[in-house]
Amino acid sequence: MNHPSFEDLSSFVDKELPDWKIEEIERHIEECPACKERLELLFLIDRGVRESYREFDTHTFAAEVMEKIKPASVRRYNFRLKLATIGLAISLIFGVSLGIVRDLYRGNLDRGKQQLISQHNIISSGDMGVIFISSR
Amino acid sequence: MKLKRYREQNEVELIRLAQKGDERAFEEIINRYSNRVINLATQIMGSRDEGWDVAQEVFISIWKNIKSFDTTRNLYPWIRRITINTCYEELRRRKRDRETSLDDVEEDEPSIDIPDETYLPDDNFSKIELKEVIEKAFETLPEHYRVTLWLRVVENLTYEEIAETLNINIGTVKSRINMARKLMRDRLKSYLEVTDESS
Repeated sequence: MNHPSFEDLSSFVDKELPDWKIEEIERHIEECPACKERLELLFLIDRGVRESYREFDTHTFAAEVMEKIKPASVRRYNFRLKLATIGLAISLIFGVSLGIVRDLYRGNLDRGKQQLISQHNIISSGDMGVIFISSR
Repeated sequence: MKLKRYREQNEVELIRLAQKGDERAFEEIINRYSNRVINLATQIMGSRDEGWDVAQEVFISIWKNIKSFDTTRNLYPWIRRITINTCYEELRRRKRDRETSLDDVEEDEPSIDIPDETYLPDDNFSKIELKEVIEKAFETLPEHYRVTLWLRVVENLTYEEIAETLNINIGTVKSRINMARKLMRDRLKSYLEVTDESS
């Protein structure tokens, strides 16, 4: 076989060639020191690239990321807390208002009762319902 | 849950916990993948500091989107894609900013000659160790060659996977890898010739 091209050697290193081509190049390499040297240089390059992989301080990195993430979650928590407070305040206002309205209504009702009792000279409050309904 | 227990958790369980808002589970995910992300981001951005910063943006983005992650799939390919997208987005943003600021420069202002750092001076080669020469040659490759070769050699992706990850066709992947190796070979040859002559 002729000397494999640079592209073929590169694909050979990456195992991106059909099996028959790989076998052909392997046979050639055994017989051709020049191509063997070309191939070794490619492997050397790949090894160098792999060795440029660095180990970083992942704990510091993670801590920095979490610092940036946490304020967002705290903000979400504060927002929920605000919503809950507003909800509670609305419920309180509503409850108190309802109480006041009920008291006013009861007050009016009691005054009405007194008027009816005095008008009809009723002594027993058991008769009140009948008179109250019939008077309406 | 104690920190040690998080370290012992499998990936799917960690993702599920993180999806429920468990920050410690997410921290463990960062611990597991940050090295790979910082290294990849460094290759795309061209410097370790920038790689570190963009990698942080990557994990913030992952945290925001983790709920949408399908746990039946592997996590790292998803992280890798977010890393690549975030880095290129940042590079595009910078390019836009540069273009905008260049528009502001007056026409008669003298142009500045930026030294070409793509090629190392040959006379320095003999003084540096081979490993450093390879590293330097790799660092100074144009970004698209460097990233493609990195995905092949370090991330161990096939040409097809690289094509899918970078949204390019397989022919482009192949030619980028060949070109990257050719450029590195030429620089190494210069170094080896210089050291041969001196010995």
